Amino acid sequence: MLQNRLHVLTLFLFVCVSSLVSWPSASHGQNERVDDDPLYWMPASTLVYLKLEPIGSLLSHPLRTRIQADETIHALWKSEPLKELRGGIAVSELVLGAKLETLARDLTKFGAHLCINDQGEIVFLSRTRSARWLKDYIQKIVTLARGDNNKNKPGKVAETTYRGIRGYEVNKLIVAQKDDWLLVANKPEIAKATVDQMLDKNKESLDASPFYQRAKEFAERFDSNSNGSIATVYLDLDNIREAKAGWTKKIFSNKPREFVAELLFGGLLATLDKSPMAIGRLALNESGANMEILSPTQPGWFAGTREFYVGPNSKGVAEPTWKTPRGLASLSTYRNLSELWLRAGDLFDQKVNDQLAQVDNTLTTLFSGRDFGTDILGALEPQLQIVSASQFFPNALKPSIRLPSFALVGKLKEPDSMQRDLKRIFQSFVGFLNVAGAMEGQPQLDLESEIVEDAKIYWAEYVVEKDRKYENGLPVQFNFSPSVAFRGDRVVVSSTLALARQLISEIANPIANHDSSLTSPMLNTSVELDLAMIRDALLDNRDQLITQNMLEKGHSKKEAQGEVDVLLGLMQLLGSASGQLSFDEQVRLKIQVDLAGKESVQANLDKSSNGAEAR
Amino acid sequence: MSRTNQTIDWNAELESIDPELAWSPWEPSTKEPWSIDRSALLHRRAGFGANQDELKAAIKESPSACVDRLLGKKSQDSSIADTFEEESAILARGVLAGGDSRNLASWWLHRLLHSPSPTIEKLTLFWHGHFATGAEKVIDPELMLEQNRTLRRNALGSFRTMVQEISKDPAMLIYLDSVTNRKAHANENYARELMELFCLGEGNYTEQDVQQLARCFTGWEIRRKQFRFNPYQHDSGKKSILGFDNVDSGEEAIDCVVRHKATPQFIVRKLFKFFLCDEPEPADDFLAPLASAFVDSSFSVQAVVEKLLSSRLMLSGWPVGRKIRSPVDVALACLRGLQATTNLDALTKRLRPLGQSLFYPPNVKGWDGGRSWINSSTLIGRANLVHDMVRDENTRFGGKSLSQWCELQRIRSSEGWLAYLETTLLAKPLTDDARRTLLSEAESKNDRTSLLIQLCSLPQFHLS
Amino acid sequence: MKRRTFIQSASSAAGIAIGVQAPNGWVHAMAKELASSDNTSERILVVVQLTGGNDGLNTIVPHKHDAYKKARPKLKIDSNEVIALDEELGFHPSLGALVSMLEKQRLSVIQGVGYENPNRSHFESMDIWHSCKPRTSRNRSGWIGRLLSDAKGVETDDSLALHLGNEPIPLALVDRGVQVPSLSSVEQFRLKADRKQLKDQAARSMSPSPASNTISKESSDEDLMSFLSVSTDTALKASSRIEGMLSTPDENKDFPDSELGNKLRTISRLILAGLKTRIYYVTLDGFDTHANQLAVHAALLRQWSESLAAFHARLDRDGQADRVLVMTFSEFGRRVAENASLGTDHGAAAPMWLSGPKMKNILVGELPSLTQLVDGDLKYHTDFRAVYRSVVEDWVGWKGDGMGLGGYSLLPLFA
Repeated sequence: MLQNRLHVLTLFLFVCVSSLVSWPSASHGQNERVDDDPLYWMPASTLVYLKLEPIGSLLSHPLRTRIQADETIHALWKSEPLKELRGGIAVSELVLGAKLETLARDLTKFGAHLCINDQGEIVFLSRTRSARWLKDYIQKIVTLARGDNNKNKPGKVAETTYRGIRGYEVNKLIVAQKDDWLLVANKPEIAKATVDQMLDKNKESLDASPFYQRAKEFAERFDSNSNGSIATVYLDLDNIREAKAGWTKKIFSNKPREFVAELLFGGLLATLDKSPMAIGRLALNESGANMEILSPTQPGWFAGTREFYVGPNSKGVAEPTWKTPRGLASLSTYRNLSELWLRAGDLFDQKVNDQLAQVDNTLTTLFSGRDFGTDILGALEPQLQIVSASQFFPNALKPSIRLPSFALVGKLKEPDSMQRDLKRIFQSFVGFLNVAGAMEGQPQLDLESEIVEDAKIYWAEYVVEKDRKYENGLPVQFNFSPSVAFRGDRVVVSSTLALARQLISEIANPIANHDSSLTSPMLNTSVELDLAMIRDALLDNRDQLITQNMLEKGHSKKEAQGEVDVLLGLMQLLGSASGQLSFDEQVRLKIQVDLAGKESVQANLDKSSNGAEAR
Repeated sequence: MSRTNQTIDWNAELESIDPELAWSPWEPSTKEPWSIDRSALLHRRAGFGANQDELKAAIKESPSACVDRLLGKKSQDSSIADTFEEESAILARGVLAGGDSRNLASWWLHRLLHSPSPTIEKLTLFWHGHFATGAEKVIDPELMLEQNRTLRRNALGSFRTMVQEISKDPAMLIYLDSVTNRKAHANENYARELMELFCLGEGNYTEQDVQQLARCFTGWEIRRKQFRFNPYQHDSGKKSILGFDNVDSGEEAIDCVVRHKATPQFIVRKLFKFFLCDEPEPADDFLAPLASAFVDSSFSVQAVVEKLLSSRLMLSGWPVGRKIRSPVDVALACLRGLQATTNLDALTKRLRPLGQSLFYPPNVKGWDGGRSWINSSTLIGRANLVHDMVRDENTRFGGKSLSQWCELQRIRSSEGWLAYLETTLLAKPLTDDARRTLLSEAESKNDRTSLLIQLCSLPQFHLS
Repeated sequence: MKRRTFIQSASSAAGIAIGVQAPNGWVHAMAKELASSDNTSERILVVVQLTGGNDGLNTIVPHKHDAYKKARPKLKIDSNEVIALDEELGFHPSLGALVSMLEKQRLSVIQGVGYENPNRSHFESMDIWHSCKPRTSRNRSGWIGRLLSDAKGVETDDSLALHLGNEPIPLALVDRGVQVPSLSSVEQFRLKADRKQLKDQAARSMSPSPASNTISKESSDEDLMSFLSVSTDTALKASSRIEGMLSTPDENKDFPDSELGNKLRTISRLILAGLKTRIYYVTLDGFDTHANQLAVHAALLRQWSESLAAFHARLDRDGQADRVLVMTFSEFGRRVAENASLGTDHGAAAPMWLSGPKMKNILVGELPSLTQLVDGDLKYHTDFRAVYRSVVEDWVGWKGDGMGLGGYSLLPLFA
């Protein structure tokens, strides 16, 4: 039956996914029998090696206990939209005769390993609970797969024996068992080679390969204070680039680079092009999960074309991020935009350059004839900050869609002359918006300015028409009050006056604002997200999300509400996320996602139920 | 010979049909029973199709009760209507909040799909094509939505009121440049279309009438999205229109136009073509009974529509296959016929290349309909529309997958499935040959979806 | 004229009943074509609109003129850079792809095209080029739209005109009662349903079903049904031809991967697939070069010329080069003098371009004087409506009466 096939797949999937988010046991590193280390069995030609810790430890991790104990999550799990998932799991468990949780625990009792070699062959090895348990388990899957095939097509589960070890081909995968080890491979060649090695141990293996030796050593540079590693991956970049097999070509094909991709990932791409290897690790700690990726790097790799990304000698450092009340996200990065703009000719193909020429023409026109690349971008220090905050609308008349505000903070090279220029450009921009808006019957902007101490703020606000009723709330434009503000050498371009004012006052007070313990001094880029605030911003637009869901999924109001509330409910779990990128002797990318604290989950819950009733 | 025994032959030429017979009310008889096929025809023309359960329920009530229900006259379970209106209002708010007229179509499609009185929606669509106004010029979604509500409110009401209200409708005023109609320089655009396209038809007025009528409308303006009369811009000189002397205000002028003898014929003809058949063009005499019903009821649209829908000509089955489905009809027939819901935003986009973007008629004349819907690209597009819609992951049938839904409908075989589809989706039955081919393919696959898609790619699927 | 009357007249004229209505001018043209019944010989017009106002002076460059050099100190293109045409004029260096067309005399530049009282607003001027009338509120119809209106009811199986692109349908293609399809990609011509038995079906369902329910009886009048069957059959054929084309692997190399390249590639596929559409309309935006013009204008001209060259070359490979004409225009040229931002502002007269079939002359009309300017702009000497009329009547072979351009005299353009 088709359903059975699905269950087998679900199980594999579950094992794989769970593995990725698993957690090490105390027995980490306790390999009683060194002979049994799969490092001796995996081929020396391995390009990708993934090491997984036992899933059991993940399942008993305090984080999971915390999630399970959460009443909201409990309620969500029982809710209507998740009914099908619940049913699917229940049936799988019935068919396999055990809880999926238990199965996963037993299957990876002593950890698991996966490798991909230069031919694109994959082998997965896992040391299970016991040889007997494994035999039963394989038998169950084979029976299921057979039942599946009998029904519709005359397919079969091929069965072979190689050197005394029995193997099955199920859904194009080869499944075999040696003692308490489960072996799954995608090609017979690698399955045989692995079995050979398990029996003979006479060929060169991954353990001896120079790549693995160097990578292992390099792995010591992982941030030492997160020791709860659950999965580690080693990538042999040198050979991945060289490999003849087609599968690597897709990753390193000479695609024309896109501007935004270059802006975001240019430095990483340069590393990927040159670096001999990369390693990554996923770990859990008390507050959440984190991922760390390391790769050796050299300033020379960026010289010229990609210096805009890392700065001279890779010494470009991002300033600490600005914090604002109600902040959703903040990003601070070292990036020399002017240089990127001017170097476009070297970085991009003809097509992208043609498009950029077009954009350059438009922007230069918009900026009253000042050359966009040299005059506008060139007037900024290579520092860029983007801040986003949720908005507070004190009046009864609110926009019906409530968007967060966002702002760019830059540092001017020559504040005096640029302030005047930017002010003028801003004025003509507002004028342009008014003329264009008037033709389409859109609301008009009212230009204002204020001077607070040594700061100047210019802004424009949409005018509420007196005798209009706005039965459906204010139009979406009322989320914006475009602003430009200056203090010292800083310029703030903000979508709202409120955010501009806040940032200006933060700028006046940098020391209180910047908690130096939070930011390491050598970061190239740092991103922080307040996931709880983002959820609040979404919750504020719950009606819109429901409308959207109704139109896009054809749902009734009730169904749409159910789905939206599940999404918002799941988001309650999350607290914050951050990402950090640095270039030193190695590229280091760290991403941490933290769960919401216990109290805040409860607080969010109250807020959401209040919010829901208020509507 | 008593008329009650007379029937209209299915393939009778229109010219040969006696108008009195054609427009007399149809009564079921042993020869012409109130059948599923008749009910299906009525649901296709008066609404957007129906599923088998609805068709079966319809023949348990009388034909006139069925018409009353479609018109929303019969008192229904008001909670259904309330839920529907509540959902529609939520969607309207959401669409307006976005401020983009292009999203209005999804709101309307929701109504077309879920309205418990589909004839009102169908007529609103008719009037949208008649008083065609395009959002590409009006831009403001609030005004487009307001006009749509005006059309719906008057859909079955008095045509006189309709014309008076639409003449002051801000979207219309913008679309036909009434806004620039000033004393010193009258803009004739609206005046001309009022006579040519909205009421009389070409040949029933002179250029003189256009100029005079335009003067009556001077000073009709919009302020803050509302109609406003500006006496300073109104040309209050003497005007005579269509033989009426001493006309001054726009309101009086509209009444002159509506009361012109050409109006009833013009409107009734268009309704006839919309509900009964694309071609041939009926003779004036043939439409005379409808036109006099229109005049006698002082321009009640409902009077004409009821007469059309419950007429012998309609329910004899003569109109079967004599109309080409509009793109909206194609999509809605599938959805309503199979109790389906779908991604309405995607549906809006899928309708565009087929030539029917709601709120964006091609020009002031609206959609021509009939054969003009069809060309190579729209035919492929129609087949692809059904394909994309049925295979869209968000399309559900009674909240289920198609195969689950078929199970619930106790459709167990491909024959049963094909029979269901023929009843609900096709105006004319398939040839035995066609049926065999479809089934031979379907049986090997046992795939409900692909049979449905195949069926909807056939030429006769486009007939209503 | 009533439909049925026409059937008779058309039948007698052409011997083929096409079941539609058409006015007289059209009837003759159509009847002639139908009689020949070889639909691959019908001539095709592709209109390419350069939106934003192309700088004609830097497209076909008067590089030797002092007035030009003086007016364009920073933007001028030097004599050693241009692709020289004669002593006086040269092509912008980005137009290299057109050289072979030039050598074969399959390219024509009509200089100094414009209209009386030039309007310098994009919207207004474009409106005039589309409607052929000064902008008043009532001319919401375009020249091609009116041409099709005149042909209204001539039901070829395929739409007579087709717009390709994501923008709203251009006014040129609009007229009341006319509905020109607007496609965003050729994918819309690919039938997604399994076509296996559909093709037989289209033919088979032409025969009416025997009486099998209480309503339908055997009928002699299957008008709409046979119309739909024939149309479906045609559509399926076109679709499968296009699908065949889409699977040809070398297609990609012919055309530059650019917006216009992709559009013209699609059109070449439709033409080669035997679609009976006669007029195609595409646009390329971005010519409003107020600032930093050199790079962006060069890029646009490269895109235009490479796409055009690839298009004609592709048709030539299948021996179809002689039946497809591309007409390129822009709503106005640009000011003779450059502005302070290394760009140019809205101007007036500019060249139009014809390419594809053998042309009578490469250069048509004189370069307008660079010194006797009107408000700083070139003065037109050829009305664009004369070009439209000549193209419609002398190239497409239709009577242009319906367009209302009778007052403009024909130009000798084609060899």
